[in-house]
Amino acid sequence: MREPERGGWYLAVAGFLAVLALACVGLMVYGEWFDRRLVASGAVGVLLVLYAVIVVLFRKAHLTAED
Amino acid sequence: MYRRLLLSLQSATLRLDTWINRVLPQDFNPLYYTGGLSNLFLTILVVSGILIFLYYEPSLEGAYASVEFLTRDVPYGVVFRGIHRYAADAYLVAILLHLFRNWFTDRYREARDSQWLSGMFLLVVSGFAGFTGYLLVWDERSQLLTSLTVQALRSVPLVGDRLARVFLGGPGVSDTTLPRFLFLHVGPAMTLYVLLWWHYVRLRHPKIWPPSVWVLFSLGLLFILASALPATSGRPAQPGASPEGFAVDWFFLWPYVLARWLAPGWALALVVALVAYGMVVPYTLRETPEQRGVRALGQAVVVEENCTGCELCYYDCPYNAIYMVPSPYPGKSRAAANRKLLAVVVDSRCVECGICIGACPFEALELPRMLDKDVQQRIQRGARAAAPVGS
Amino acid sequence: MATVPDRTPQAEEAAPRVVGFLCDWAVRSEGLLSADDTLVGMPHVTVIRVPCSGFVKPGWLELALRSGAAGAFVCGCPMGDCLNREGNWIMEDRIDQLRKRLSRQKVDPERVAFFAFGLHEREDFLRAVAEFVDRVRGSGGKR
Repeated sequence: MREPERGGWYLAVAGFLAVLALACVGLMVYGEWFDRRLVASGAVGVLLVLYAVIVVLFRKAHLTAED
Repeated sequence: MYRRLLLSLQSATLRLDTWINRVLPQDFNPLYYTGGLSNLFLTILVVSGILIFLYYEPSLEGAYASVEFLTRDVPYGVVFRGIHRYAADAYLVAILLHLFRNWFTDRYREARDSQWLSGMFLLVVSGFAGFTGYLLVWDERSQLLTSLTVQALRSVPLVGDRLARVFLGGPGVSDTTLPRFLFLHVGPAMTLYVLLWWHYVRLRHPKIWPPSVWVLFSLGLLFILASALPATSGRPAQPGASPEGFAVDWFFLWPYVLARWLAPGWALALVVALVAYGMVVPYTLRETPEQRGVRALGQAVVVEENCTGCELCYYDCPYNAIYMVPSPYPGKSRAAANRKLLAVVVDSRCVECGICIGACPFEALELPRMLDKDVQQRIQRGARAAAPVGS
Repeated sequence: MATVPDRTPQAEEAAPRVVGFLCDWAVRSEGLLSADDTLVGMPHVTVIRVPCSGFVKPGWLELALRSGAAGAFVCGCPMGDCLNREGNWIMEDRIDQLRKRLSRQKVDPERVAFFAFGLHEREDFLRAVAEFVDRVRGSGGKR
C-alpha cells in the first residue's frame, strides 16, 4: 500500500528472468544431447529458482493476488 | 532469567519476520511455513528414496558397487542421489527451524503439547533415519559410524549387547547387517507418517505445504546443489580396516563429532538427555498467566439455550476443541428450538483464543471473562463518546 | 507515537470516531493505549484488545458503525503468523463477507478494514490507522 509503484520495473525484471529461463531450457537440451547430464540437471535447478523469483515479482507487481 | 532469555528470543524471531516481510509479501515468508517446508522435503526424500531403492543391493559385497553403479552409470542417478542427500540436510534444517520457532514463540504450551511431543518423536526418528542413510553406502565412513555406534550401544548397562545385536542383525558385521540397516532406514521413514498423523490430528487445517514459490525454490536449490556438488562415496569399506578421519556431516552426525572427545556411551547418554528434556519442556513451566503477561479469559463456554447446532464454530476452531453432539434437548431461542446438534467444548484442548466466538452468529459462545455484552458496551462507548477536545 | 502528528482541538472535533480491535499478540501494546482505551495521540480511535483477531464478531463491527463510528477495523498478526494458526485468515475472510453485506445495505464497505502487523511494526500500524481515519472521514454518524 505504502510501497511506491514500481510494477513496471518488477515486470521488466521478470521478463528478463523469463529469457534466462529459456536459456536454461537450451542448456537442458544441450546437456542431454552431449551427455553432460550435470549441466542439464543444474539448468533444471536454475530454471526452477528463476520461476520462484518470477512468482514473487508478479506478486509484487500486483499481477497476482493473495492466495 | 530463563523466561527473560526466551522473551528476547521471541522478540528476535519476530524481528527477523519483520525484515523478511519488508522484502517478501507476508504470506510468502518462509518462516511461517517451516512445517510445510519440512513436509515438502520429506516428500522429496521419499520420492528420490524410492528411485534409489530400486538400484540398491543390501549385501556386504554388493552395496558399495550398487551405489557406485547408480552414481556413474544410471542416467541422472548422481542427481537423484544428490537430491536425496541434500534434501535430508534441508529437511533437518527445516524441522529444527520449526522446533525453535514454535518454542520461542510459545506455541508448544498447554493444549499444544500433543504437537510438541509428537514433534520430538518426529525429530528423533528423522535423525535416526538420516543417520542410517549414511550406513547404507557402506564406505569407510559407514564402517566407522557402525563401529562407533556398536561401541555406544554396548556401553548401555544391562541390555547393551542385545541392542548392538539388534542393530547389526547378528553378533557382528555379516551378510545380514546391510538388510538390517536398510530396514532401519526405510522403517523409520514410514514411522514418520504415523507420527505425522499424531502431529496433525489435533489441528483443524494444518498448514502442510509451503506456498508455490518455496516449492519451486527448494526443488531448484536441490537440483543446483546436486549438480554443483555431486554426492560421492568414500573408499569402500574393508573388513578389519579402522579408518580415522573423514568429512562429517554435522547435521546428522553431531553425536559422532562429539565422540571425538567423549566416550561413545556418554555421547549417547547426552542425546537421550536432550530428547528427554525436550519432551518435558511443556510440562516444566508452571507459570501463571499473569507471570507470562497473558490475559486468561477462561475457556469458551457454550450458551446452550442459543446454540442452533450450525457447526460454524466446529469448522473454525483451529484445535478441534469443539465437538458436535446430538442435541439432548431443544434450545430456548427461536433459532435453536429445532436444533439437531449441540456444540460441546473439550476443555483440555481449548486455548482461550475465542475464534469460535467470532464464528458464532447466534451468541451461543462466550469467553467467561470477556462477555459479548461488555464488548458491545465498550464499542458503543467508543463509537458515541464525544471527542475529548483539548485533552 | 512520535510519528503521529499532533492535532489541534479543531481538527480533533472533525476527526471521525473509529473503533478498532487489536490482537494481544500483534503490535506491542506498552504505551499504545491511554486509560480510556483510545490510542495515544489519537483520542478519536478507541481500541479494544482481544485475545486473537479471530475473536471479533463481524456483528460487532456493524454495531460500531450503527452506533455512530465512521469506521471499524481489526488488526491481527502478519498473515501466516497467527498464534492460533488461522485467526487472522478467518478474520480477513469474515471482513470480506461483511463488506459484501454492507454494500448490499448501501453502506460504504471501505468503512471496515483488516490490518496485519507484527510485534515490531507499531509505527506501520499507527500509520495504517491514521490513513484509515483519513479514508473514513466524513462518513461518521450516517446510518
